[in-house]
Amino acid sequence: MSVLEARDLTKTFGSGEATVTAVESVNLSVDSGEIVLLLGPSGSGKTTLVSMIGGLLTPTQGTVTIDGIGRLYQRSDMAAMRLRTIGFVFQTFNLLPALTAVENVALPLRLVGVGRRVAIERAGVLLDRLGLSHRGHAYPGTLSGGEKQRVSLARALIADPRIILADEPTASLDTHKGREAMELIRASVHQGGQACVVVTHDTRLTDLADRVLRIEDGGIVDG
Amino acid sequence: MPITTIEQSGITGRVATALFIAWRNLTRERRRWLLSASALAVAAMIVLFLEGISRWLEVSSTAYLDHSGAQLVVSEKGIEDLLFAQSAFPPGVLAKIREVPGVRTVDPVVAVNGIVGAGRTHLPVYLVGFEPGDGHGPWQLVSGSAQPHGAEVVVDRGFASIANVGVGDNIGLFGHQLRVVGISTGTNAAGDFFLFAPLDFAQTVAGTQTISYGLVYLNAGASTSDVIAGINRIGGVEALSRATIAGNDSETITSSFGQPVEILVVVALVAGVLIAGIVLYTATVEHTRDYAVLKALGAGRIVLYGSALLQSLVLSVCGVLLGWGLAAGVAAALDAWYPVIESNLDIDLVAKLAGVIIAVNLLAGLLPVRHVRRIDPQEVFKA
Repeated sequence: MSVLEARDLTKTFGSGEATVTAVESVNLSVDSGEIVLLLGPSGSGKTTLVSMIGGLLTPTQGTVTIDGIGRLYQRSDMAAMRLRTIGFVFQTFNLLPALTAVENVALPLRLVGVGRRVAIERAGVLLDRLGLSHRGHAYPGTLSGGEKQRVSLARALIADPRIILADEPTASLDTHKGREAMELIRASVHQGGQACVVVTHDTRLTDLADRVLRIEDGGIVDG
Repeated sequence: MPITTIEQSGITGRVATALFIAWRNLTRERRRWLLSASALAVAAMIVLFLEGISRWLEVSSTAYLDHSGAQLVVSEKGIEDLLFAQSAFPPGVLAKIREVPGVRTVDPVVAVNGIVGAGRTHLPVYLVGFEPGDGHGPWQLVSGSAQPHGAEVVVDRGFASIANVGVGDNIGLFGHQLRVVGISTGTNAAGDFFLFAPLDFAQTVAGTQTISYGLVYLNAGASTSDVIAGINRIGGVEALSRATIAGNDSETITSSFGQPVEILVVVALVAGVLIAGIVLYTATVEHTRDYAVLKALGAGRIVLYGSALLQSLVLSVCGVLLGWGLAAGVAAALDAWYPVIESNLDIDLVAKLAGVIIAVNLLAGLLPVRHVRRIDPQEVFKA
């Protein structure tokens, strides 16, 4: 059974003649340990699609199920569901500048109420696995782009999510660091068994994905 | 290890996380944090300092009577205050008061209001003539003696400072030369400086051998109302409870000086709210992206709104503490350089006002909370 199932996902903005369809009738399923690369130019609807899958945006139409359980977007505990089932990796890393690397990684655990000691301990182990144990107490402002992306990945993985959603994870990195980051995501997903969706416009990453889908004008055109 | 298998500390943990994020947001940018706390501190200082003046006006206006311990005050009929009206009755009345059943003793006081030259300025003074030994002179001394004799006087320390006189110096008062034998403190009644001289000297200054007030002490168990009725039957004088006379003085001071100060306090409080609102809102807006990240990650309301509110709370508490220090500093500086008015920053007043200021700041802190509520978590996808 697929970990992630999106059925007929549609998102429109505005109303009447000003209606804009950002995503139209997208169907997508991703298995455990699978990396799906969503390739598309700017404005193709990639981010809107990821936002809906990630529960950050309510679809106009369609459903998303995770492990067979439907996402009800009006549920008040949607944030908690997001916290427990989805790990995000962002283009600009989005690390909190006031927290150290290890504190940033520990944040998702702390947000669900895990005690500081336990959370920091687990974050330390994860950073060690990603080769960053020596930078744990550094603030994001002092980390390189590659280091930030590894911290960001560690934060996405720490709460053991079912899905990893990566939005342009290599866009802020040079070619070498970008590929390194993508390889790290691939290794972590294959090891952890998450379903992973990576949206990007970088065609050089296709060999690192298990499946490549192209998105144009809000719809998946091949796959 | 899935998070469900990790020990969770629930709400306490989330509140701790909110506090942690708030604290880090504040202290990571020390300059901004210091500026924000300083802005709140200035607002708190103005409120505390002015309210301290208001408290001083109220307390100092009744200090003399409060320290006298008298149960009743006898004055010329129709005069119902101590500080403002000029009461006068013949000394012979004192003997009649002493004969009223229930009266243990009555001590005469002569009071003279006036403006006298002090250094390069003129100051309002309240000369109290009392009989040395009866305890109606100054109740707290900075230096010298509390018992003037002949052409001697005890002056308030504020008056002494402005007039630049000390113990042993001679000063001219009401056309007479007097030697300063003591400096008193706590004897500045809302800007009216108390001076203490022997009763007969005060009568000389007043130009009459009359008595201004009789401070009456009752026998144990005596009925106050019976004694008042007995004194009022004497004619030409009337007896009022000390609380009534003190209340009248306090009311006069409050309505003439206290109310303008209270208006300033309200204006300062409103300005403080605006400052707090702007400071707290700006501090939150600066962290819009961080809140969007927290939202995207799945942070609940406790963490999101809690951290914004705790940020306001921590800033407010620091602002109030800093403001208290500043207000105390300004009060001390004023006291040292020009001790005409004082600001009583009593701990109960500070605690009460701190509560009000923090509550008001937290209300202003709802503005940032509203901002956080409206942040779109999709901000995280913006490059």
